[in-house]
Amino acid sequence: MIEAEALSKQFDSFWAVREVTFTVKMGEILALLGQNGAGKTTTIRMLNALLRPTRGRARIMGYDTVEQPEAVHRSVGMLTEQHSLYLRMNGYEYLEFYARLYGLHDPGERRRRITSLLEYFGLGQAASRRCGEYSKGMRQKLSLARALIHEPPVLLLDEPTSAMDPEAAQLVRQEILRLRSKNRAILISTHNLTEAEMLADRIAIIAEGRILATGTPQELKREVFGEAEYLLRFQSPWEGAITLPESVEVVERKPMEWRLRVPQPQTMLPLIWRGLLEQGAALLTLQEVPRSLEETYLAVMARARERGEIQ
Amino acid sequence: MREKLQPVFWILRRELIDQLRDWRILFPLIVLSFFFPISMTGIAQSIVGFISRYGAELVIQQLVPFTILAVGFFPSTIALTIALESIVGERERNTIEPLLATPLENWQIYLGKLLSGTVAPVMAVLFALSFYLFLVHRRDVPLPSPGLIAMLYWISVANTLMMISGATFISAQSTTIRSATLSSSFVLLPASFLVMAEANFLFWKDLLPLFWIVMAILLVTVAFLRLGLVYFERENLLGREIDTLNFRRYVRLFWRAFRGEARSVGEWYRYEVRRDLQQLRPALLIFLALFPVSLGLGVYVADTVIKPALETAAPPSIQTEGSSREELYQTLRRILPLSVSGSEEAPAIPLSMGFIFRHNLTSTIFVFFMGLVSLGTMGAFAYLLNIGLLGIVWRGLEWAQLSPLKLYLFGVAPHGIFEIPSMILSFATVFYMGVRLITPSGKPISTILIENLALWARLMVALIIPLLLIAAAVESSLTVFLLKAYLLSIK
Repeated sequence: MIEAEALSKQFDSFWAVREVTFTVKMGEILALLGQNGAGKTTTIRMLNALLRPTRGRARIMGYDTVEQPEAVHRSVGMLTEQHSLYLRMNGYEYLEFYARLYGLHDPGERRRRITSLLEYFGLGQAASRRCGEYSKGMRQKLSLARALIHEPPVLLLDEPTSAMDPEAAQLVRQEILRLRSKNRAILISTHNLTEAEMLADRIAIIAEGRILATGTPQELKREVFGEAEYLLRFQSPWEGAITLPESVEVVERKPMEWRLRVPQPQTMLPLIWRGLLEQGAALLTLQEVPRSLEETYLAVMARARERGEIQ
Repeated sequence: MREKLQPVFWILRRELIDQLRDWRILFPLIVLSFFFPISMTGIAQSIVGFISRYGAELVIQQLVPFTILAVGFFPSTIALTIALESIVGERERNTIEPLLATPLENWQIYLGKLLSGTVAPVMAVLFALSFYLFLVHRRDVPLPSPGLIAMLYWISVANTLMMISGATFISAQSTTIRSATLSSSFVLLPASFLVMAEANFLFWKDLLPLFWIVMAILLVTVAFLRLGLVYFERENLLGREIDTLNFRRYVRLFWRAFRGEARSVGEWYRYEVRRDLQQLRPALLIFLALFPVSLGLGVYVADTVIKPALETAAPPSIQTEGSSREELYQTLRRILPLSVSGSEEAPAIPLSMGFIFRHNLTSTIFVFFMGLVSLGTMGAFAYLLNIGLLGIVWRGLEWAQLSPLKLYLFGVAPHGIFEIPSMILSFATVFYMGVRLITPSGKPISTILIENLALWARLMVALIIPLLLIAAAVESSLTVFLLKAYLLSIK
């Protein structure tokens, strides 16, 4: 579990992170979404006890990041933004070095973990090759393997797929989802909106060190644009009438399509669909009006600028 | 403890693998530890051959130790390159963060890095020295005594260790390899001066000063290690992106530290200077206690080293036995810092108040700089040396059948009442600054340095300079008068 309470960090006179608060439960992925310099890396470094918060506090699996940094380091697998490796070591030696630093003293267990991680990431054949000969994707995978070597319950992944080719990025994303299913608490920082939407259970939009909005992608969209809108299409023009529940708002009504704002879609939409069929309407489709995360993100940023929260 | 040291070993092992796979490190190591001794042997042999033709065997004996020192010094310079790069290099290549994210304590990472910069260069130095001695021995060039050879090993290893500890500290405090390289002069220049001083003592085969130099170097090495451990923090390594010199901030910080909370000069003396003296009390007590110890050491050195040397090598005028009163008087003229001219009326050196004050002030500032580059340790050694000299002179006066007590009473005590406390205060301040620097305080090193500077400046302005002025005034008037009267009375 990751807990951040009013976490703030000041460098000289510059506040890199201000009052950041969130929680990531086990089996959950939270994406910190923001542009470069928004404070994502500083937040991750504070969570991993690499930087001391100026104010506020953070706990990882209940361990305070200031009071118990070693316990925090044992609980966290960290993927840094720059996936730099020791280029003169080979893949196996690299993982072995970190396995030892994380206290894997039993040679058999160490070998088993290293071999299985190398195999899992498709690096088994390259294990004896020097890291300097690895492609960018291979380096990224080896970095991720390093982050997992001590089987940590918490993962802090800083830009996990940046600068990766689509195939390698896909593999890393699959691995992140697999790790979530293994009940790990995962925090990823990214400026990739698609990735955030694909992976995250919840998203925290961060800018100039502040969290501007937090929630599931749906919650964020609802917060920005209001209730979800649905588009109802008819096979042929239909001018009939139907009594809709009070909470449902007809945003636009045309002979061939209606645009509705529905607060509780799970219960309301089937009622509307059945009601229209009973009135003899020839229905074609009923679908949610797509609102992208990008629009939501931009709207959140614009709103924050309007309110003077960011520049 | 073994478990705690294991990660240090793993870091060391990884770094060594890295170094041994990098031809840019291997190449100079091999050249400096293998080919350099070979070429030095050739040079030494040809010089020895040339000198032998003129029968100057003494010069050969003095020359060989010097070549050994050179052979030991050059491989140690590679230590500087490795150590300077060790931490900041990882930072620049972005490999440091995963290492810092491991459950290792700061000291384990730092020690691992320090040792990794140590092993290869020290091995190279030891190999180069042994190989050179072997080659020299095979070519029938006379080797120095075993004691001197052992001392040369010690000196070379101590020099290397000091450079590594200094360079590793610089590496941990730098943000880029470039800034670390540019800062390397802070290690290289003192090391070069040190080698020059060592070469000087080596030429005279003076083992005792060399022993003390090695001790001082090892002390500085330990101080640098401690300094590195105190200021090696994950926060510092990841929190700073560039080295910035904010002079306005530094000036503000200095002035705030210098003035303190005082609103008037009276308050400044009453509160700030008084508080400094309270903080300095342990250091002052140490230096006061060292006073009789170093005086005794001076007497011991005079008896065991200087007296035998004088008796065998000195001209009759400074022999210690059977001298006439006139000869002793002449001896005194040589020994005493106050040299009196032939006419006995006017001193050979114009001992004006300004001259004395300038001389003492320069010495105080020199001690400050010595302390600054050596974390206070060299300042302490300079103190021991100064007081030790008083002990040597004391014995010298006794050999001259003069009363040291009377001479010190007339020639030192009048101004010494002011000068010696100012000297003790100055040395204790410099020592305290070093201690303060290597004691964890949670403050950045730049802040501690400025606060130290302010402390030194405050004590200089408040106490040391006024005491030196009074001492100079007394020395140029009363002391000269009393000493001259005394010297004339014993003639």
